[in-house]
Amino acid sequence: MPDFDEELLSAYLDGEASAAERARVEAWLAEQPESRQLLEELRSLKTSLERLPRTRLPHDFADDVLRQAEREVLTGRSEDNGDTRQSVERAERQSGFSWQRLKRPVAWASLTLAAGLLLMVVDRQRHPPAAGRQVAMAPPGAAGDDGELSARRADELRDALPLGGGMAPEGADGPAAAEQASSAPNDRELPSADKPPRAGPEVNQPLSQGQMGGAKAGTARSAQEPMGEVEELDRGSYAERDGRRAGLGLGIESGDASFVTDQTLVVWCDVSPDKKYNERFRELLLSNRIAWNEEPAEDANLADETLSDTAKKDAVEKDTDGKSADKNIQQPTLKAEKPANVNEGLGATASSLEAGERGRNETSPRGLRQRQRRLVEAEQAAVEQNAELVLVEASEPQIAAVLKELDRDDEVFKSVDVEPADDAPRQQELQRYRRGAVASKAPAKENYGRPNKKVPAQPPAAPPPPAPAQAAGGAGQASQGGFAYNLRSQMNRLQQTAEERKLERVKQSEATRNADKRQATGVEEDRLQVLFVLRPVDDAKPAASAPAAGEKGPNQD
Amino acid sequence: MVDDKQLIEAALAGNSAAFGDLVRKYQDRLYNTMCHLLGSPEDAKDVVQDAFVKAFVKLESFQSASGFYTWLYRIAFNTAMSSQRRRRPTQSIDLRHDGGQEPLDAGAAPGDRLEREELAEQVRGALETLTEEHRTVLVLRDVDGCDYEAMANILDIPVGTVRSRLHRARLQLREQLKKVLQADTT
Repeated sequence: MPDFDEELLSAYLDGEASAAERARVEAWLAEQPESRQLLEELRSLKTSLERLPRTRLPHDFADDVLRQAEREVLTGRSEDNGDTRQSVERAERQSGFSWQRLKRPVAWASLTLAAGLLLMVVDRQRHPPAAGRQVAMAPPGAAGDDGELSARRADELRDALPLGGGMAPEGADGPAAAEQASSAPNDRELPSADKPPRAGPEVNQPLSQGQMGGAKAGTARSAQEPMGEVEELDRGSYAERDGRRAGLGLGIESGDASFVTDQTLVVWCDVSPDKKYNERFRELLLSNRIAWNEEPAEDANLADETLSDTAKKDAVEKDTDGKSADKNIQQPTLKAEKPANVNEGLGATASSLEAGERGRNETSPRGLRQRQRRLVEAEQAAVEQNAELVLVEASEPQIAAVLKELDRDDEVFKSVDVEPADDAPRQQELQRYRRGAVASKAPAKENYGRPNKKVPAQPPAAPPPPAPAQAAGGAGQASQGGFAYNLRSQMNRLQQTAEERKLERVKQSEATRNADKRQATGVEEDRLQVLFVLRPVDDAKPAASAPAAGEKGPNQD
Repeated sequence: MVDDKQLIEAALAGNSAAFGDLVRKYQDRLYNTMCHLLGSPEDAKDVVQDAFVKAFVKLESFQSASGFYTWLYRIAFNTAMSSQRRRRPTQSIDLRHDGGQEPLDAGAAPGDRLEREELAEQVRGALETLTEEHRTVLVLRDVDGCDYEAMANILDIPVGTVRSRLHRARLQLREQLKKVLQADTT
């Protein structure tokens, strides 16, 4: 029997061999004394194992098991087959314990815990922990600088403001949130002397002169405040709201990019964390005659610069008499025409009537929120990625020069992405002009899929083409690019339906404003507000913190 | 004597005492097996308790086609494998220092007892040197007394695999035991 399987010996020993197998084994053993020896050794081994000392558990072990089992059933910890309810019922039957008796207190405890967590999240949103925020301003008289915020800027700021009564019905924040906001500790840092009634039935009340002045004062003060130190704005408090929004560097809350306007150009810069990017960026701004405005003494200039002619004149008067309100600002037209929810305190404008008209048309709660979302997401993403925000307000040539230098310095600024406001044709032109250089600096961004938005010379006859969202799934797409894409994709989707009408109206209003501005100042160029987001990105793990293409950004629906 | 099926039905009907009877029926057998499998009485007790709790919670999913102990042992085996990844360093099963448990043969004559304990220590030492795979089949068969079919169900392997694996495990244990005995004599 040359093909004897030795494994049969174990089966034979264990009594697991069939009759035929037993016969084969016995025949083999009769002829093979070595196999008999092996079988005896295996038998001895088996006996040794069988005689290993046996141990016992305590007699009350079963009781312990039952107690723990019922506890597990009640807490559901061991449930993974979806039979929780049946097991709970069984445990109740067995123990006489009723889960129903626990339901209410547990539910209340859960609600309390959820409320606490919610408060923690909201509080964290109001106090961004890491993102630094700075304000840089080009001084009057800088190259290409017209020395003042144009009427267009004022109108855009006014138009962009999403706060006020118009937002309340659809906003996530209800009256309770407004109440909470009104009691924010930083109210003391905002103009409060003329604090008007909050949003609600009073939303159509005209803006008072004092409120406008308070807004300007808020602009000057808040420019020196760290962004995270300013609390949520009372939605109905126009003066505070203006101060927060126009002051930049202020707290941001969900759905409310109140520190910038929706007309702000956003520039994302991925920087090397080991480089002194902050100093380099400051030098870069200074070399383009953009002052780093951190000193309180310069805040007056900031406020001054953000005023149009009329407001500027009044601001000078305000500065001369200290903290008095800007009672000299006269805006009869604005009062008469502007809806409450587009009130702004940045000065009278030559086209305030138009702004009021546009406010009625474009500042619906939904529309405003959509337009603001780009900045909300930029802000929140910046906070999450430990970025630093620098708001720059300068002339268009200055901004272009800054972008150009950013593009050159690829050692510190690893990638630069320009994200214009959707309804700002000049910004979009700037984006198209700069995009090639920027894209070559960060090749992965070529697959972002961001549509190169066309700003029609004439009002478009058809809605703009939808964003090629699927194009973002390129293999070479970095996660940062994906994030940027996602941001844009979302904005495109949200704004697509209104874009055609918006572009036409903006173009027309801009032409009107430019004409008014030229007439008033003789200056051709306008100033841009740019939010630079400096994101430290590790060389070893580029853009690991940003979601990849196809993933949802931090605030996407 | 009430069989497992009746106890299970009673437990499902809400009679927790019936499940207590099931626990008492199998707790020592399962615990003993787990002690040899894990090498730690504390870990074995934890695993056995977890296994019974899981069995209680999932009792409605028990299919009576397989024996309750086979089903229970499978739960315990999976629990043991999970806990082994995070368990503390293996402790030797030294019954003399295990105050919570008592050996079954405590009443044997002192001489025989010492001899048995010495041999048991050698066998345990050899057993612990085996791979987990080999140790498991040996414990299931020779310590716990499972038949091949039950072992196949517990380990989710064919009966033929049980047979061949068990034989290889015995050959390995024999070799290890020879080494232990040689080391003791020298």
